[in-house]
Amino acid sequence: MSLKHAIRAATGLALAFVGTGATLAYFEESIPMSLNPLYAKTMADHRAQELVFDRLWFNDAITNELRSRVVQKYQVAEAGRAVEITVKSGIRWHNGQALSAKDVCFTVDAMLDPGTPSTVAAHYREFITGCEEKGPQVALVRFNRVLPKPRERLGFPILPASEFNSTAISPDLQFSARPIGTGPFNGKRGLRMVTFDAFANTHHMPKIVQMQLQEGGDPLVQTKTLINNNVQGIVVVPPPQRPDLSASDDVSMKAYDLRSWWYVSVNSNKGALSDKRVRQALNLVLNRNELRQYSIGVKPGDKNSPCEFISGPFIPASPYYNVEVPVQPNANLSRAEGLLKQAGLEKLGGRWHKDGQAITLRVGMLANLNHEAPDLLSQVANQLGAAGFDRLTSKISADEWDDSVMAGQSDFDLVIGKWSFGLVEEVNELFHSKGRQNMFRFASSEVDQLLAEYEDAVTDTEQRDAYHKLHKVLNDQLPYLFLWKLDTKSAWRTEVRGNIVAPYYYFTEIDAWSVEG
Amino acid sequence: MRLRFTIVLAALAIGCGSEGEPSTATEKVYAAVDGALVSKTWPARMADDSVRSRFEGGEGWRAIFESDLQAAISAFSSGTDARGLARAHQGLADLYRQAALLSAHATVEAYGVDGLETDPTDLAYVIGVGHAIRGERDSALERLAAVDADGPFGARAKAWKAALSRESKIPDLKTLAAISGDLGEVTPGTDPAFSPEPDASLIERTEQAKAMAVMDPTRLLTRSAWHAAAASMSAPPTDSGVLAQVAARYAVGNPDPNTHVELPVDDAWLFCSNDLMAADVGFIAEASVKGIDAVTAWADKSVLAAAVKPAIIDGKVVPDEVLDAGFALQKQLQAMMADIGGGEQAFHRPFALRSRVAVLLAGMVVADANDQYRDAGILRLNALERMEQTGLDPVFALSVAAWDAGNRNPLRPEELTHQLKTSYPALFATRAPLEALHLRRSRNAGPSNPVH
Repeated sequence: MSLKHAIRAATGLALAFVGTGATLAYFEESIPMSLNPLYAKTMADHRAQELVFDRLWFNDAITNELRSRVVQKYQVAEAGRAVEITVKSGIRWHNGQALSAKDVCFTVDAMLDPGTPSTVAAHYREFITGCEEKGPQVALVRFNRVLPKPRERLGFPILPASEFNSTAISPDLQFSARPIGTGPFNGKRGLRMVTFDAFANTHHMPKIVQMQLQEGGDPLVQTKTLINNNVQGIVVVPPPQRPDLSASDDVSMKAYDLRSWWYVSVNSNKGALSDKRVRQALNLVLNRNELRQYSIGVKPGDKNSPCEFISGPFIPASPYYNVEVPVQPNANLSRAEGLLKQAGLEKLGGRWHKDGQAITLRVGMLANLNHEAPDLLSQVANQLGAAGFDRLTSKISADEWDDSVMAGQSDFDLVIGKWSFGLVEEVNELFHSKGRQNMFRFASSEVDQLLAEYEDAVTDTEQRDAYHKLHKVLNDQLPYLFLWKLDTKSAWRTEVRGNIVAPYYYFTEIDAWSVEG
Repeated sequence: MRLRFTIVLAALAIGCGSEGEPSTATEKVYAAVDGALVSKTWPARMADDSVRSRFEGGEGWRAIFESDLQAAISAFSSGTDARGLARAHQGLADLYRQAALLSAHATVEAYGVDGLETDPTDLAYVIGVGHAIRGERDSALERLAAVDADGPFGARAKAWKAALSRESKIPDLKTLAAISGDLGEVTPGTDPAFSPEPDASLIERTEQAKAMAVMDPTRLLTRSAWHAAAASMSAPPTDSGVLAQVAARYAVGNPDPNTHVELPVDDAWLFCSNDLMAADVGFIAEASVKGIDAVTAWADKSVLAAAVKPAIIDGKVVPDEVLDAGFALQKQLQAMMADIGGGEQAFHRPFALRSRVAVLLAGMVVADANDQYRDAGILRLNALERMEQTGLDPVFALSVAAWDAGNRNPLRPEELTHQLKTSYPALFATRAPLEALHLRRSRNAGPSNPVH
């Protein structure tokens, strides 16, 4: 489709829904996979859910103050092993029912129910033991130990007891597409867009009547559509589009505090890739400078680059990043060749062979990442090809990613992806042999040992040292080929006022947003 | 006289037939300021080639334009422009003072508020210094009293206690240098070397007994005072009052409550700065204490005061109105620059964009003094975002980082200091407490999965 037609198509989609001045349409990275907070797997999920639900406690996007919109008062109880929460009266769910302590306890019970296969809930099971209704508005949440700052840990969204028959909540319920929350908007997920209709409440008074989330396609089309005021915002603006948008007085670039790093995950249980030396060779085959230049548009030496190489699973500004582990900005094909030969591979007719069979690498990339890093998949494949590997490439849909890759059932050799983090930068689930997000079931006793060291750390020094060691070991074992951190910027029309972007959750302060004119 | 300045925004209407074709336009009238005031601003005057020529072609002024203070020091070190050199040194003095404040906030929050039983007892020293920098003298003395007199920080704690018993403000360069180490003779045009070696290794009170590398925040104060002295030595004697007013913007501790007067200010202090004209320097110095009263007092002589004035409604600074005022001034300046320069030129927009940021910063200063902490924060973060277009001002960036650390938010400060560490290696001294704040907050935070 030509650019012109693409813009018209995007414009048409946007126009079909814009009715009043208080409607706001925006491009997201992808359509959320689920609007049920127990099943948030993408940042688009988290951002969309922030519009629909209230979290028990949250941090103010400006002052970082710990606040709650639903809790009237609280007190620490049972010598620090519980907190008694009184929820505000008069708050209504989107189905008209009143919010009560029953909902708080239902949410806790749902998270504790083994029949709820939620990775989000799994973490809460590690310290919450139960919830008791002490009155219509009073709930007592119990922990398995004394928590020094319990409110900071209780940031989960509250679910409506009235919408479920059981505390065992599965991801495929209608609730995931048409959720009921107490948040400022009532959301409905469709195939191509999600609409959020304002829901006035005692604790929310949104100024925007409707929000329309559309899947962002070609970044150039997104940019033109924004400049032409046919949408009012883009959540993730790829670096090449930023100068054009910065140059416009009609658009404001917004910083979005999100810690994201990109990687190529290696299937260390498959064929030649099970040999560490082969993974190390692949790491040396990649010319990250070229990948970054051709896909992100950042040249070597560019000042204040939004994209910085990494050598481990943290961004360079993180306390966990081990600065002593060097990055690999350029390819080193002769060293790569030496390692491949040591691993028993042979180069025949310019192609690498193992046990007489030519090696073909099946390389995939989460499809929507192609907007942020255009052609990254083909650039990686080209470099592998130039180094002597046959390869098959495919873009992976969000569903396939979730159902197959993350479930550890894919046949890929390499997958390109991105992980995002907030304040908590734990990577245990990615690299522990039993990690819930260990996509190729990478297993290393040394890594497991370091992750246990991190878990058992008494002080932050011990914790940081454990992750520094982990960084070093992962850079040697290479279950991932670490690429770069890429900062995230949004762009919003200047007609959108009061648009404070909250770190990680994005729409926490949406009540203050308005559309002028 | 107030002008009404009309800006037509070509807002593409819903229902247009093809891309880029505006079918209707919304017209918005922005309040803008008296043209006579605007004509005195440096962007307006720099539209005149003869005025601007002084700043063209010089490496030092290029560095100032690019907000690269370290490069400006080097470029001005030949002594060709005394005011340029003084300005660059003052910039570094401000930068390291804000870095000290960042370190102080992170230290007090991480090791004080979130202190652990396993922390080394002598961490009390850096907590005490942190309180002193924050202007909390009693807390400082209490913490410093707990430092082991025979430990690695014993002598330093004693010196700080003595200094604080004499006066509650931050000590002078001589005293600071005696505490944290001499940076050598103050020599304008140079920058003392920084050693990343820690000031002490303190042992955690755990089975593992790990060593914590600790850096004394006093080092940053000393560096700041050193550069302030270099600025004072570089500036012509006639500029001492101006220097004091310029320094007030990023002062730490109790601000000067005195009323300021409008001083004659050379363009070397204004070019590419957030003070758009001479009176703005005095206005900002006064507004940081007197808030809205300063706006009223200066609105007929300071363009920033005049721009902020309509954004004050019912005794409050309204952030959205300040944003509008900034945009209006930018547009007004662009139009005026085109008139003066005989047409639009490439440098007009970047210069005018700085005026927009300057208005946001002025609004922020007034809001802070008016006890509108959150509103000031909104303007602070908007100003930081707008610097995407003009280039990051390192001093302001550090001030945002310090403010964030005071709010117990370590993430943005980590990013900002990471971004600036190559140009300003001494910022390394802020890293340990920031890391501690991050790790301690992270340990108490709600669970979170990596998300794709």
